[in-house]
Amino acid sequence: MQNRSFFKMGLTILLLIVCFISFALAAEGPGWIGAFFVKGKVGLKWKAVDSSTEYKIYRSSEGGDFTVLTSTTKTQYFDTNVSSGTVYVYKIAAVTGDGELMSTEKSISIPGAKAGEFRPPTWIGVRVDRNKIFLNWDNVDGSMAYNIYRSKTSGGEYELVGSAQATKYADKEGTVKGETYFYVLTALNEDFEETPYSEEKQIKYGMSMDEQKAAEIAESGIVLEDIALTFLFDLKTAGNLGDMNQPTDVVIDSKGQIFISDALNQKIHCFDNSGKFLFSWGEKTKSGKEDVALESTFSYPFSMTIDKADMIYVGDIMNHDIQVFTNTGEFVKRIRVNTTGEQEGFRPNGIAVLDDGNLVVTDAGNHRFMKIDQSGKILFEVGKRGSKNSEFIFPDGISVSKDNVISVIDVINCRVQQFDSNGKFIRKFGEPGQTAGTFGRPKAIFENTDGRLWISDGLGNIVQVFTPEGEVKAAITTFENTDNILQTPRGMFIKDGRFYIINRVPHQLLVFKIG
Amino acid sequence: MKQLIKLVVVMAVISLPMSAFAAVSGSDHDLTGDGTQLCFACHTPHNAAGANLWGSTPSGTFTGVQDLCYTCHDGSITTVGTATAFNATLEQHATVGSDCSGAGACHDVHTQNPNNSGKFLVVTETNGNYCESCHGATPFTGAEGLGDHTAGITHFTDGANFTCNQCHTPHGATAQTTNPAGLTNPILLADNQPAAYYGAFCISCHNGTAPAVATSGTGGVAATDVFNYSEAIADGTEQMHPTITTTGLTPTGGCNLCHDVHDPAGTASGYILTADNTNSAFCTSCHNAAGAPAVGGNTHYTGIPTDIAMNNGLTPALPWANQIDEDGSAGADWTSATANMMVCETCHSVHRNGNTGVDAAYFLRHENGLTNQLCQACHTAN
Repeated sequence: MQNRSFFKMGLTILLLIVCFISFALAAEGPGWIGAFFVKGKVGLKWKAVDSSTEYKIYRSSEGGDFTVLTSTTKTQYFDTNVSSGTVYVYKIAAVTGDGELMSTEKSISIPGAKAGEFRPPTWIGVRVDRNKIFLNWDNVDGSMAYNIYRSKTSGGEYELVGSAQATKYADKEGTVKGETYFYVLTALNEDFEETPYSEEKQIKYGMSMDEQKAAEIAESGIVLEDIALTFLFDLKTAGNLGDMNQPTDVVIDSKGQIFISDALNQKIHCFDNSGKFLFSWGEKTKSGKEDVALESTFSYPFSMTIDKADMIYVGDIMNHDIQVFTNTGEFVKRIRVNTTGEQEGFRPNGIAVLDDGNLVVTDAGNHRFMKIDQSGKILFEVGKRGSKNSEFIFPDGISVSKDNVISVIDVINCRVQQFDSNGKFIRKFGEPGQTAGTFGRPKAIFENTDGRLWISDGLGNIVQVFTPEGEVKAAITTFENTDNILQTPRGMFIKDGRFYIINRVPHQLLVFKIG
Repeated sequence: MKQLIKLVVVMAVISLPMSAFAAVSGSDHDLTGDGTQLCFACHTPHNAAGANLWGSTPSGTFTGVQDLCYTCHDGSITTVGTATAFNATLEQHATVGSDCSGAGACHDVHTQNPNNSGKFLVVTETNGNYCESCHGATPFTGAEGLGDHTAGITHFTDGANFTCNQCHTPHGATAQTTNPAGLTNPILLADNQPAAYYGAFCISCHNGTAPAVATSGTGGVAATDVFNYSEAIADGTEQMHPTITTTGLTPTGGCNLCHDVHDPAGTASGYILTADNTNSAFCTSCHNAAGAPAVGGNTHYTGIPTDIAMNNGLTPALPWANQIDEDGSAGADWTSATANMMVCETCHSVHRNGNTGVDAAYFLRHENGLTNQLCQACHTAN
């Protein structure tokens, strides 16, 4: 008996809860079944409200006030009056005898660009590579595809050569090497409406990488100075010893004599200032182990520098030492830097001599640079592997200014870090990139007497000239009176109005007159 | 099922760069060393100006990706390969397709240790080398013309101790001066024709001394070895079978005219001839009165003489076709040769086996001299 009473009471409470929920739901207006954008219109569908006589569709555009779009007795509606790139908010009111019962709000974003904003693509770049012309542009909101047009004349009659859904295209069909082509782009939206042409971009099919690089720099907006270089001669052969094999560095002594480290022939060659071969020294080290390396033997003579007394320092990255010679090739001494068992062997990729006779050297394998004395004793060292200030990932060339500012090439970080004479970080400049002031594989650095820093780049095949503070001022990619081009350039020297640069893979030294 | 297929495809697409990422991390190509910015040393994700998302396309004398590799393997970042693979004056293994890394190539720059080589090699090690993955029993497409590499180690009778690397090196090989064999990329340890004749590298072993450039192995062919094929030993005047171009007589070439070190087609002997020489058939394929000197219809009788006893028990012995045994392995060289048959080799030994006398120019098996000793070895009975 008592159980039956409890049962009735429970059932009553349950019914009251159901009624309350139903009332509450009904009071909140129609429940949404769906709201979506498809085929250019917004579809709305909701649940019926029993007591309603009709439904009002409210719409707000871009955060504005709601207005009644229309009324209907149905439980669905298609809004065809929508614009691309616009956000609409909908709500449905069920009209009852007690007033309007409002639904919750639904927000719909209409894809595409706003009216008037469906624009042509903007160029990122055009480049010839591997026998194709590669076109890149930015994404245009609301675009479904892009058309690529080509002409042989600027502003001329463009021919549709292809379409792409991505923001890139590789053009080859029908192109002829040596021809210059002019490209424009359009964007297409879902209705196949096409934008006007983009700006025109031209490229010579067959343009060298250097020509392309020069064109990119010209487009970068940085105003660069023109450094006039007149080609004088190149050096590839060391007399009867034959051709050089991947030379690395060059220094000039007080007489104007040219010294080149011929890495894979394990020799240092000396030429007079007209390029006449004079003499060589150096033999291949029989063993790669430094403890058996004999005087004037090399495994991989990589870096050089010269002091005011014409003493030539040669860094050997496989023998892990620096040998010092007179400018007649006489061995003076060997400098070794001790490394711990956990460290790689000393790799002097870059050497510079300070006024006090001490040296600053990079040690590529151990990601540091050091100040050492003439015995190889480390006076201080800076760096470990990393990308923060005073950290390096394979430091390479090094230079010291008249003000004793030490500039260190930080290859993989694509930057130059500068330090005071005590190794305190001053600044850095450069980042990865292909435009002026950026680097691909910076290699060697040479400080000219005017304080400007000349930096060779083995990936971009370029030499850039920076102010002492790191502002790019010039970029050298091509030469006017020679067919020689830069190919993996490395060591440089400037003296008596001449610019000397090692071109590694062509196995040569290029000599130019500046100005 | 469609969902499953989609999932598999998506996972596969994702896993490709992820696997490359994982493989590079911690490898020698992990240039940052701390796993951050791992890819950026070589790639740039946006606005890449070069192929394969490289910042730029480097230019140089190398091929494809190797030009990019050289921007580090030039000594600035590493000395690995600077004197070999990245020595532009030396000969390198031909690339598969356009590159040394990637689909079908020997290397994958993103995977350092798939076979514990540590050299980013993806080809399989077989018999102590990585060559036979492509140059094995089934010739690699595109390499069929490179010396019929159908059996990589058949050249040497002791195959267990002989590998491709004893003659070849994939990187830093000596460039061939001339190449009558038509091989475009032999990648030999030394030039096979630095001077007058093709085969100098062959003879650097087959000269009675240790090989000049081989760094391991048996120490070369002893002076008394039957494989001592030096063109000029003893008094320096003797010659064996001509291999040098001489006026109008011998075709250009050298050892390769008769031998193919990789494919002893048709021969079961150690001669590695390009064709079988049973009953001197290979000799007469050239010496047919048209393509070689003074041999043809009007020459010494060959065949089975009516008096076969004439050549039995003589000193020095003049072997019948089925008695020739000079290939260094026990037993007759030509097992199916005709018994009691006089052939070229009955009188001649093309590499002068046995004779150091004045008649070496005719590479006679034994000295004939002014008294025709060799002739009389048979003909005295009559």
